Amino acid sequence: MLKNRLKELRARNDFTQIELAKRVGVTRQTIGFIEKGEFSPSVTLSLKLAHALDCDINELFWLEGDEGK
Amino acid sequence: MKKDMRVSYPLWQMISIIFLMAFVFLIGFSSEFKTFKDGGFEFIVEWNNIEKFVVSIVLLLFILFLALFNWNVVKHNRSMPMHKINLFTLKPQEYMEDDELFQELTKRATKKVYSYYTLAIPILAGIYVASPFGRTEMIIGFLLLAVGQYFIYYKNIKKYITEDE
Repeated sequence: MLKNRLKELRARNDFTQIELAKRVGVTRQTIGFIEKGEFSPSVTLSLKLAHALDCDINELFWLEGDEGK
Repeated sequence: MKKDMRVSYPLWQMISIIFLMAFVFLIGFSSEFKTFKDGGFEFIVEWNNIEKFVVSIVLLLFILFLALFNWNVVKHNRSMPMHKINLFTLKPQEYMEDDELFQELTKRATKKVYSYYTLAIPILAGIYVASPFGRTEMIIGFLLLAVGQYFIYYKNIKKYITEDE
């Protein structure tokens, strides 16, 4: 299962869900579902999110069980 | 999302199918179909006064429903010009493909509908083969199947939309 730190990094960048959604070209609902872990985004969207939040994609998304790696 | 008619569109479809069922019922059980040896056929519909009254009421309700439906479509298209409901395309209007999440939700709901038909069609065929149902009951059975389809789709999409609100 894909885990993420989207909510935390979004807050750190002072973005609302709507602002982040606009930056990456998706709906607010998509950001909400990713944050809740109910939707795994595509590689393209994951890269866009990492870019918008100015972080590495591995910092934003990781596989469950890979936390220590 | 609450104002998005694409979410409630399956409900409108269900109501229109129920109207269709009412018409099939009213015509089917009051009609006679005759074929002639020298070719041709005759289709006769006979209603008594009570039936005529019921047909008039159903027709009136259907016209009111159509007016309300059209008014809602116009309202939706004004408030969501990027996601207009177009009644003149073959694409089901309840599909939401705004972005990859909505494509995924639409896919999940349509998969449930597909599973439903995989099971429901053979069951219905089995029931029809083993029972003395007439043409009208069979048509109503198919229409009930369609109501079920829209119900499953709506229930699934609504679940995600409600979760988000």
